[in-house]
Amino acid sequence: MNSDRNDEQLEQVRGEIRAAAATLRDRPRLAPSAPAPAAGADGIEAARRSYRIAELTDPPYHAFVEHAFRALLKRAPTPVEASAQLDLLGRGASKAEVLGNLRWSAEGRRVGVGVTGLLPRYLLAKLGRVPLLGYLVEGAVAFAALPLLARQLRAADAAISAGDSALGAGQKALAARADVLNQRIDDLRGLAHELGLARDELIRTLNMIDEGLRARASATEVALDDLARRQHDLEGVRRDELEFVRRRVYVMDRWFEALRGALDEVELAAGRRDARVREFEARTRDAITAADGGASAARLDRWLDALQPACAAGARVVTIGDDDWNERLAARGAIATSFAGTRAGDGPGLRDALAHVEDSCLGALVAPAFPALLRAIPADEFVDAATRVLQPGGLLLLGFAHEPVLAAALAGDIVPAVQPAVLATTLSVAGYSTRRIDAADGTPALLAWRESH
Amino acid sequence: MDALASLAEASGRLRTQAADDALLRRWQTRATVWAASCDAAGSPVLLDAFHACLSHCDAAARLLVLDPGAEAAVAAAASSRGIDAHVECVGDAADARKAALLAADALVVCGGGAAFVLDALAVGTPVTGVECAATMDAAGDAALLWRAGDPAAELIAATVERLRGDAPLRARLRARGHARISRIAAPSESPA
Amino acid sequence: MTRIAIVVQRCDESVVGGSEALAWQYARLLSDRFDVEVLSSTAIDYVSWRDELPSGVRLRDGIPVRRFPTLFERGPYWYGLHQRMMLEVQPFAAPRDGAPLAWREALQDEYVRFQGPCCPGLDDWLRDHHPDYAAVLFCTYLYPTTYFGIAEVPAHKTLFVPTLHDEPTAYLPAFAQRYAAHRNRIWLTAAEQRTAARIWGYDEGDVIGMAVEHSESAMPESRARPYLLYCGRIEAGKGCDELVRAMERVADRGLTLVLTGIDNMGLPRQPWIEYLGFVDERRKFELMAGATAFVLPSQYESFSIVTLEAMAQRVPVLVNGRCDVMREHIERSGAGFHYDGLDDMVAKIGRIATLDSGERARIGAAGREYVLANYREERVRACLVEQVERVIGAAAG
Repeated sequence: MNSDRNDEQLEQVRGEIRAAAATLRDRPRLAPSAPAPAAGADGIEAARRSYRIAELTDPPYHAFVEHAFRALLKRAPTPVEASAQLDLLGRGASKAEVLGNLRWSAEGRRVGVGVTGLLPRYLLAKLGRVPLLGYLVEGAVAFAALPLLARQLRAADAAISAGDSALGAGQKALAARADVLNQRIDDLRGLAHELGLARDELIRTLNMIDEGLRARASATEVALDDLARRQHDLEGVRRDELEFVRRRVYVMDRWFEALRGALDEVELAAGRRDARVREFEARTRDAITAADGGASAARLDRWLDALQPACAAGARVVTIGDDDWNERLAARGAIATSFAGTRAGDGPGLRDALAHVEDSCLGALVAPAFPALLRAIPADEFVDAATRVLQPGGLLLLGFAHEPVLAAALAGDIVPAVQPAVLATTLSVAGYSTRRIDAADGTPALLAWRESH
Repeated sequence: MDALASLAEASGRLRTQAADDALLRRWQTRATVWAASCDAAGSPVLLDAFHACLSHCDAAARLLVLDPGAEAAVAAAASSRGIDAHVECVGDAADARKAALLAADALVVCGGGAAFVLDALAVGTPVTGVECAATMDAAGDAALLWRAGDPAAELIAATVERLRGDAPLRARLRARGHARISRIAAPSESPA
Repeated sequence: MTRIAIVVQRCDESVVGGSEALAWQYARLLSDRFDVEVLSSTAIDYVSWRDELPSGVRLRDGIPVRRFPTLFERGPYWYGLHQRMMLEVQPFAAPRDGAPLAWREALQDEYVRFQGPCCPGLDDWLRDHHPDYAAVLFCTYLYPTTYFGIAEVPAHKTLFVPTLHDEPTAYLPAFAQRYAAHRNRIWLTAAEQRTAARIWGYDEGDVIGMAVEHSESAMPESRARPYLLYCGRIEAGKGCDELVRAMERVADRGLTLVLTGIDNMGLPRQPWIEYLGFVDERRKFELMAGATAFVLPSQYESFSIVTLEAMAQRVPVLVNGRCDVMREHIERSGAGFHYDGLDDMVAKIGRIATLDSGERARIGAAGREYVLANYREERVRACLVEQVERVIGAAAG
């Protein structure tokens, strides 16, 4: 997105440039000007087109040649060119001649710099080169210029003397510096010698180090070979161990398979055994139940007789756990019920059922298999409940039928062991009188009652 | 692409090489400076454009021609237009070429190879001029180029004038140029 | 932990420099919360930028420092460019009339590049690996490590710490152009922020500064004569010549001038000058705590940790009012005086010498309070973390 915006902006710029280009030629024409800037660091005034001759002839010797090239040709001289012009001066040529040669060379003409006063001097210089005539002309010019020459000679003499003085002073200074430099050179030579000795020592030390390193390298190579051998041996051992482990794993794997098979068979056998046990239990319970029917009949008569006083017309009798004898109780005039769906051992159901019985409304409360009932409710709680629900003079019959107990045991329930005598004591502590009313088949039972106030 | 990558690498080296300081001082000016790259065929177009600049934009402008082989053609064309005082051939020394690029407002290309374009992009000098295959390959979208069929002289002169006065435009082109050089120099890491 | 990078021109225990100290401090403070890597050059000497340290990654106090070799040393070519730049790029050189400078952007790039340290490897690293960093901090506007490196990282994940001075180089338009898009900025002082607004035309960012050591010295130096203290490089560029001239004029007041640091100026032998050379941190704080005043005559300071350290030691400070940063510290804290010119400096020294104990205690307390309020390590760390997390959050968004 950013690049799209950039492209749009560039297209806009292109449009603006096109518009500017279309009107470029309509702008006023600018006056020609030299390219800027003027002089560079090399002293060439590229834009300057005219000089006075004195500007060019004033500098001496080397400076004169350098300046002449820069002014007239707008470039520095090559070393060959500079040397050629200096030779010319050395052979007596005038500065005007040198300047003229440059100005009216092909290159000089192309550059086209003007020098005021140069042309006549240059022509004169060239005329001086013409055999015989030139000699005469130069002689005439020299004769006319004698006073000037004399003045220039005296000035040159003075300048040379001054130069000599300066040179002498310069030479003295240079000699002093040369002494200092020579001393320093000697010092440096001494230092170089010491450095050479140090260098030799260093080389010796380096050689020793090199030998030591080579020896270490050899020893290292030997150690490496040894390591390689040991590594090879270790690898062999490792391979053998791996093979051993692999075989053991294979054997164990086969063993585990066999074990799994055996376990599967055991499980199968256990399953069959459980099925048989369950079948046996079911049959046993059925047998007990069938047998119980006969034993129950013997108990019923004896216990019915014991409950007769309570079976006055309209008296309610509740049986816990066995509703087989409700018909017989009803035949003796009682209103007989069992707790609906309540079986001995069903704790919450039994408590609930007892809680719903009103106070002092029962003529009798019967539990044919009292021990089995204790799985559901403690004895004292049951006695308290019985006390509440029985009428004054009501009867409590607690039997010790063994069939339900046996059946419960077969089902895996633990039935508390209770002796009739202990129960009688408990009942008497609760204010009951008791007597044994064991059945003809020997099944124990207790008849309990409270004396009415 | 490999040839271009090695040219780009050489241009990258130019970036860390010192320029000819004497030439730089000579050319560094507030007036308009063109660095130019052209072949013989392009020189008339270039000189026409520069002439338009001298006539209507900046009479003190200077043109620095980078191609060593174009000297004769350029000298002739400049002389015929009377503008040879404003035209200088840089020669083939790398430090002189760099000085020209550093002093220039733009590199103007009218033909010539990709090398000078990549040098300009590496150094950070904006590039403009006439499209050609080599230039497009080198510069991609990092240059402000015109088709050969467009009226090139006035467009090129107006483009250089616009570049001189539009700092955000220069910044955009410089950034693209830097990215372009980096991509070409490391083609395995760059997207197409 | 999230990975971030900090780019700075030099990073080594042997390096003494304000912006290098800043970058290292920031690296330390951020290293608890982020996986910090410092990217730097192999140079130690800030004049030559010679390639001295080994390149590659080394650990410094558990923080990886990745160094890239410098390509060349600074040489006569740059000094020539610098001389011309100093003459030609003046405060008024920024083209108000729209006319271009003689210094094209390419030449400005050249100036920065050859100033050094030139580390193309660092630029390549940032270009190729910036996606590995959630944020990249760049310290110091002036050097190529920041100038070219920051162009390789998308602006939304950069944090820029310019450490800008009012100096000729800052006026090169290339700097303002280069950093304009990098708006997540941290300034050392409000004065620096104002300088940026004036020179570069923008100043967005937050003022955070640096953490300053503020544990009070248990053993203030005790001397026979009261003394003014200066700590740092002793050179004319730091105003030390003016300080010596001022002390000459108050030589009869019974004050000594105690100086620590490297003497690059050549201190005169005077009975009221005592030069201690290099002292360790503990001794420096003891000297500060026992001084009549701490003096900083430098005109070119971007933050001056040493002055703030002195303030934390409850010693009044005397600073050059021509330095915006120092004047701002004094005006905000009330922890001493600033002067304008030699005569004013002499007058202020006289004023300080006559402070009674109550005034001295009040000024000292003000200085310490200023440092604790603004430059505690916990505060600086929290501000830095907030900045970095903001950048990371914005980049992720």
